[in-house]
Amino acid sequence: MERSLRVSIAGVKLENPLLLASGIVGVTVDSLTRALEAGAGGAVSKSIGLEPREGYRNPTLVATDSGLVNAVGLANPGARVFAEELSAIRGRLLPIIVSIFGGGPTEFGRVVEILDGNDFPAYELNLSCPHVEGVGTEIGHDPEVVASVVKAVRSRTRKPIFAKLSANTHRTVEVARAAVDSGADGLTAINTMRAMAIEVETGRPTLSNKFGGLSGGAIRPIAVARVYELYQAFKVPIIGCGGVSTWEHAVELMLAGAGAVEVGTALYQGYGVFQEVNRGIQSYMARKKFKKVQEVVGLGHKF
Amino acid sequence: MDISSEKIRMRKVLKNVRETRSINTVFFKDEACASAKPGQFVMVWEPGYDEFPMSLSNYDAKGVSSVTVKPWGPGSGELVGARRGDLIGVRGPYGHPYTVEKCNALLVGGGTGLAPLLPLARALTKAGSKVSVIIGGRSKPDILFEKRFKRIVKRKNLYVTTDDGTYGRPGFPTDLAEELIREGKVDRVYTCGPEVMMRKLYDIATKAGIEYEASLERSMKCGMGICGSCTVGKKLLCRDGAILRGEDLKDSLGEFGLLQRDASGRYIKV
Repeated sequence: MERSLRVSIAGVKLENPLLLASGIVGVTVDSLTRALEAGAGGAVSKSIGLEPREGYRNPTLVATDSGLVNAVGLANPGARVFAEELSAIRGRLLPIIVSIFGGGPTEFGRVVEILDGNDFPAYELNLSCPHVEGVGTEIGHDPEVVASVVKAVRSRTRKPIFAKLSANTHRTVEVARAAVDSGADGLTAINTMRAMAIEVETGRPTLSNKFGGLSGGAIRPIAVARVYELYQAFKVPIIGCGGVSTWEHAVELMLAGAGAVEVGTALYQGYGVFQEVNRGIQSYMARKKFKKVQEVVGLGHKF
Repeated sequence: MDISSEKIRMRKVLKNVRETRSINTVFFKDEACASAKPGQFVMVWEPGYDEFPMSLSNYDAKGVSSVTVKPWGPGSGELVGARRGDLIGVRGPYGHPYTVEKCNALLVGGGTGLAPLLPLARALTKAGSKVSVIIGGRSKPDILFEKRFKRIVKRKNLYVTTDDGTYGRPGFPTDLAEELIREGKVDRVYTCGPEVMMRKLYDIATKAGIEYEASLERSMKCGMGICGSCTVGKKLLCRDGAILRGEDLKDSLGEFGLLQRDASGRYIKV
């Protein structure tokens, strides 16, 4: 029997629990739509800031034996241009979640004011970029700043807000509490881990920015632990993110407490990953006699 | 497939050949490139400067390969001046190649756009195709690869055009291409070069009802389908291109030859 993979997370209805992760291909509505057509239940845009940013000079991504290290540098067309981009899908009610970043509550607030009139179901606040000064971990590691940012966004929108958290700090749960207490409807965990790759023949850090964020399989166990901790501490829904490329990975994050799961780095193998992972989740549910995805969420906590 | 297969491989420059007053071909040996297909590209890292996509202009069974480069930015500027023994980083070969099958092929290139057409001409000839080539350039000193193409295609099928009329046939390569297509001897057009030229050829080929394949260029960061900066409509040029067929471009005619997205994702003129 075909099992429905539908989920609803902080009121956002998705055909299945898989989301395109922020930062991956989604700088244009065309690319986000393609992820949905390829089987993603939702798609999170690249992080949008107040002004256009070209990002860093290449290399901005480097592959290692342990995953990808990237410092794209929050390249984005800026909130005004992205608002125009979004106006193309007005009325279509696509599950496109818009990720935003800023240098503080004022900037976050301005971005929301520019974007909010468009038809998209939710925001994800990037509070955790590990490689851009002033808009990343400086904000996301400080519970007080996080509280002020979430409040600024909360007061300007009725759309659900997901706070995307960093695991580059031992204070993840504290930061999450600040976000939830200030009005965040859900949490996304985790962003990339601060990292560096040095090329041995030249002795040179490969990325032009030297530091970047590690993604891929290596960070998945970290994501599982953070999601597990957050699920214990909060009632709000959690989106799990980190190194998912197979259905087992997605299910593992759900067992830890994720109500939906983002897929990012695995896209280097193509958009087919969404269908493949969804099929695997479906047969797992059939085998284990689960009727809804929601029944799997958090099951790892009963032991 | 493991992501470590996408690691940068450091290679020594074997030689650097001056082709025209502004274009050089830089050779290196990379085993993975031995299995390249015409139209595929590599990401070239010029340490300390930039990493950028470059079509392969040569590759052989041993992996002796080359890229053909004109200085347009910090990385390519450095690569043009590369010396034997210099280290460059290579990833790939990437991308969807040109279709190689027996046909009456017309290859139309402008400037460094001739680079991917060189291995294509070889492969098409080997596949039994009748291959004609138009080399376009601004002026006589800009004509690229005339000697190399002479070794591959019949002399009567090799055409040169210059915008200023200083060599070959005066005018744009598209005008000559239109004539050859009108004569009915062409059933497939392959092109690489300035996008305005490629768009014109698209319109000509589509009107004539013949197959069309073009190698496009966009702001590219990762080269592996992750960053999304090299979009043409819903296509990612690094994975779905850099060779796009006429039917791939059908939905992107509002931008092909007109607009592209810059590194921030905003539209700019091509």
